[in-house]
Amino acid sequence: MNADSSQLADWLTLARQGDDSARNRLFEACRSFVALTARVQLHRRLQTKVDPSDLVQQSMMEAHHGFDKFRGGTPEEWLAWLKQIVQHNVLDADKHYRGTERRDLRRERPISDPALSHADWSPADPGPSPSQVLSKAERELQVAVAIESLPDDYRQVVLLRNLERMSFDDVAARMNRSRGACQMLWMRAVEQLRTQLNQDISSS
Amino acid sequence: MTNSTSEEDTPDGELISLLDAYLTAIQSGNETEQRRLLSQEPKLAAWADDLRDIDSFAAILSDPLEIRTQTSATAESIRFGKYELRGELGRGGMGVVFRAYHPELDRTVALKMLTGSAFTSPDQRRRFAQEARLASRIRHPHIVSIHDVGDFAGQPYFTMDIVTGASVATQLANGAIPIEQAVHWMIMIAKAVEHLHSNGIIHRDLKPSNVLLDECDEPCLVDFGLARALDEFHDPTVTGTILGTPSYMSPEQAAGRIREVTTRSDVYSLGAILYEMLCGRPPFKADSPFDTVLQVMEREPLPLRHWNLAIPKKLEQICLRCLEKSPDKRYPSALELAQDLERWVRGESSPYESLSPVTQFSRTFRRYPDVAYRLLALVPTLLIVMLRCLLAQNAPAISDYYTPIMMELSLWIGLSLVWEWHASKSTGHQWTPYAFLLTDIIFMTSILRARNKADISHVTAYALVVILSGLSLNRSQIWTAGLGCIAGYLCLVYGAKDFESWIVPILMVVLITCCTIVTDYQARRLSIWIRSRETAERQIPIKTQSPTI
Repeated sequence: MNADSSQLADWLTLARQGDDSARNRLFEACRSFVALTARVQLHRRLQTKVDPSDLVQQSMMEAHHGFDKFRGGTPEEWLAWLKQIVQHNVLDADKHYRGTERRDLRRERPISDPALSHADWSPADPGPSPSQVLSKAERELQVAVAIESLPDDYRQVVLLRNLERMSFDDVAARMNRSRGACQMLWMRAVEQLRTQLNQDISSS
Repeated sequence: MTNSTSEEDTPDGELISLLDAYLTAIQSGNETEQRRLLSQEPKLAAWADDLRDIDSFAAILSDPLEIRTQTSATAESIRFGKYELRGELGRGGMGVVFRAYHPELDRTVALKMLTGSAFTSPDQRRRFAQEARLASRIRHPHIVSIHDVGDFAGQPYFTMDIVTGASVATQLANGAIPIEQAVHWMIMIAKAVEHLHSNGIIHRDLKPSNVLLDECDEPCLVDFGLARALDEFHDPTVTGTILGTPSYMSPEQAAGRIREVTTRSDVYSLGAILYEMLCGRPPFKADSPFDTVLQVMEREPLPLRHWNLAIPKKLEQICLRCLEKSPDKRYPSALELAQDLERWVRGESSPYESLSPVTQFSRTFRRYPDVAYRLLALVPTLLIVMLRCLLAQNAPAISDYYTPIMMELSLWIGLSLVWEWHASKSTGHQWTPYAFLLTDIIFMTSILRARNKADISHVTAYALVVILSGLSLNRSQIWTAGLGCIAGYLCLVYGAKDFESWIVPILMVVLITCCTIVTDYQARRLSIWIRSRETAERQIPIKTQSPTI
């Protein structure tokens, strides 16, 4: 685990020194993270007209082009930065598709606007040691890869229940299936996730 | 749902309920419940870590503060440099405002964090800090004091007094403010702005949501001067992008002519705020920021008495003087505005002369452009026709010929006035542009038909109608015009007694169709460009100042 996590940090350091192959590996490792972030953000804005893969493409390109502007150092800051880029793009796409509806003054509520979000400067853990921080970022990437590689309906149920924290009644309504069916689907999905995550650990 | 009970009988069903209960406990941050479930069912342990990892992923995907407030049972405040952040007060175009506590000073302040793409380079941050330091020297009872300016983890911020109370924008959500109250507030606001100006600061972002009301219900200005820092940060290739809501911006700001922004631009914004306080709506407000900018630059505000007849004429003049398009015609300073308002309160006369009739006439013209341009074309035509009739009094044939035309012209003028009257009365006047268009096409066709003029030289007027409809940038209006014109022209051809060949009508229909397609295409291209500019500008504020948590 430690070897693996320092690898992410190494790639980041090398990439910032101008090593192109490290940079490519870094981006490849983060693709699933970007994809999942885009998916969740779009979902949260009830935006179904936008294809997440377009946003992934765009965000990865922006991250490539703007790599020099990344000022953080740790993998965690790196992920937060990527997340911010995705959020900007999601917001833009959302604005674009919603047209003028968003200008309605009655809607001027303090929504949690991702464009105004900032680097993730408040980790839940009050004082993580550097190695913990690294492994946390690494773990996030693993989870993202695992969730992204699930079949569509598995991924959907995990997104709704685990990431969006919806109750099974709501999940069932959203997926247009019975509550029981959703629960079964969810357990299989979590089981598959678990297998994959543990595989990753043993392989690394 | 019955299958949930049947599942609970099976081992799988039991596991599902346990997992679900455990996940719910994780999500609500209930650790006792997590421990209880684990001890109850050791099998869960194999899943626990993974579920927690997935959940921590959910947390990083969302706003960290949002999660905090959801699970705030045990949540301690978040450290941010010297401060502890204790909840969010509001969000705006430039950043997020938190309630922040300084433990050493034992003092709670409002901390504004600047976010977004505007502050990326160290140079930009340095200039922001410069602006903020200048602003922090200001001390005035009606201006929120800035205490501390800094930069933590690459995140520029400043702190200011917490003002408990709603903003003027919140007050306005309930409609207009009583005249005396509004004037009383505006005098104080204008004097505060004058104080800023005398310290070399132009506010640049005066709007109701930036005027907070303190415990004594007195206005207090926030967010001054910093807009300038932002303006300058903008990439020169995108100068002209709009920061904030254009409803309160002076024409020079709305047009992006940043160098022309002076203290008189703030006087304009003061006028816009006064207008909204008195009328319950800003002088210009359209569906999109771009349309609002166009109105700010091209239109005259409707007189205040249009919205509320209780507003005295003198007061209306004071407000409209602030809203002059040309900075030279506005009050020279915010203080002059305050003094003129005070004179009005005391019932004294103003040293500023009222508008000349010529100016007033041209104002009215710009206020109602749709009908104004029609009158400009139709009234002279009508007069010429009448003159022709009068001159030919001895020839009844001529008078018979012209009388229906005169009537139609009068009806045309009358209907245009009716549409404009309707448009200005109702707020949802989506159909009036179509009414204008169809009226134009019908009367034009009818008059041309009476004269039996189906030849090219006259019917090119149809193409002109289509092209003019393109000014609306509204595709359905353009197509209404196009199809209406083709229909009108075909009626004309059908009724025409003599025409040589079918070639001319076919060519004419093709011409009108081409005009429509090209106009529509242009409108679409321009709309795409405008929209891309609007989305590229991520700073359009969604400002709410909720003072308490």
